Amino acid sequence: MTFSPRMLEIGRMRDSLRRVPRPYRFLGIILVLVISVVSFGMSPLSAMIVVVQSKPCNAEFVCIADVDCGQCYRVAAERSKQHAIQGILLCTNESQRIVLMGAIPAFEELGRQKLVNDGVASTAIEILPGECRNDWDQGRRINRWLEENPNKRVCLLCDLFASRRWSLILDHTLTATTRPRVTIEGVTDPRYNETTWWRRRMGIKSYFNSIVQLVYARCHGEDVIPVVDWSPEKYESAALGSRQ
Amino acid sequence: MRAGRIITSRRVKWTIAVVICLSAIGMLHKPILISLAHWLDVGESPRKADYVMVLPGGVERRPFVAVAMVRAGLAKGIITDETETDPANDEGLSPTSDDLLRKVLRLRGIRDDQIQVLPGHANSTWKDAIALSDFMQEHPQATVAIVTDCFHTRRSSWVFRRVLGAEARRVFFVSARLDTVDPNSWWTTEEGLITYLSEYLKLFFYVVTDRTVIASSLAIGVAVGLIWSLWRRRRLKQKPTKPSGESESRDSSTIESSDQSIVSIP
Repeated sequence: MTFSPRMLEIGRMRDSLRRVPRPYRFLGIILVLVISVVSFGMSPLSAMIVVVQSKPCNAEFVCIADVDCGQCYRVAAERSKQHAIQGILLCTNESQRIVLMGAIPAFEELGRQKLVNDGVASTAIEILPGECRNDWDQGRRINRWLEENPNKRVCLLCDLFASRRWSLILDHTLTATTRPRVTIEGVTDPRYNETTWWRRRMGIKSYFNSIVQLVYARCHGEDVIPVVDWSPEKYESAALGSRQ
Repeated sequence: MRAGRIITSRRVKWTIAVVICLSAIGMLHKPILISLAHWLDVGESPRKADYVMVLPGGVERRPFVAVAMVRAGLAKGIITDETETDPANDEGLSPTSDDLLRKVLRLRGIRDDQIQVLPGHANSTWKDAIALSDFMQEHPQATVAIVTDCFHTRRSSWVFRRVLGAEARRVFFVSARLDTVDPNSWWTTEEGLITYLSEYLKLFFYVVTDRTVIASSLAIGVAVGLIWSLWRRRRLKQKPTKPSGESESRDSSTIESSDQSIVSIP
């Protein structure tokens, strides 16, 4: 058996690498990883949770999926004012303790007020009745609306990092006839985007939560939410009782 | 041949160790995960204090514990701190955390003179602790019960102890239980996973970015490195050197014996 000079050179290099003590080798690998992450950015990591979609999506209606996605309301209001869409759909969310006791209006009502304040005609806003306890319920509610409106298409506005998860939820909750009529548009948070999220605390938190939610949705499917008694009196009396 | 045997036995040992570890984790995962959740909760039972401080956030739970304590006569007033606005507040989608908290407290029958909002635009537990530190300097005898979510008590007590120093003995933590997540089965729900995993992530960041922790880790790292290199040097010195030509003689003896055997066959 003959060895080419190139093979001998590789062999020599391997030998010299083997001679480097293990801790130094480990540190070297970490250094290479850090340099590659810094130079190539965090885009490959974001690609795991973000759905690439042409913007803006082409649909007659916009549905705001995340109740606390402020930027989604702004995007929807802009489209409505430009007459690019016919209407905005809002799902009804489960009212919890502070809503039930009247400290704040229901989330969909807050959203409607926000859109009206941004110049959207109140007739263009449609609140879909039927309380949704989680995002899967929202998917089913959108499916029902699409079945009731067979010629309409919907653009679902959600947080950018939640877009792949929403795609998965819609794949499971919409039917074969309604799914092609829904497109997903991820809206970027003003504080960070898919390449700069790791520089901000909020970005890291959002990315981490999105990864956990996506993995859970993919591995487990729909989350089972327990039925909760939202009475303030009960919570207060339990608070003074024995600790958990 | 001998080297091959050593590698194989090492592999077998490693495989057995991994299998044992995995089966132990499989059998004990439930108690481990439950204890991970309970480890984060260092809250005490509600007892008498001059004030109750409600940390910003968790408005569905935290203010109600404070209200219960005031109503039971365990505290005379409720304090909280001003918070930084987030995009949802700026967009008018929700009131700021301190506004909402005040509203909830009023609706639950707490008078305005019983509520005190500490100045400062807090956006982290560190800033909450700084705000309380200023308050405690103005009230040198006051004791404070700090109410926060059960999973948040360990991190916040760690932060408050760092910021308050010796004054930390005048505060204690009371846990607000979660409505939708059970600490005994948190890993089975999406919300539970997010709550507890992100809390561990935050705790990790808080600990690794702490100057004292960084300095002590560096010191330990250097010490371990020095001990390791000394041990390695000593071991190399102690290693008995092979007598020269040992392997050669062994090889030659083999050849001789084989030659003899070849010779003896006929």
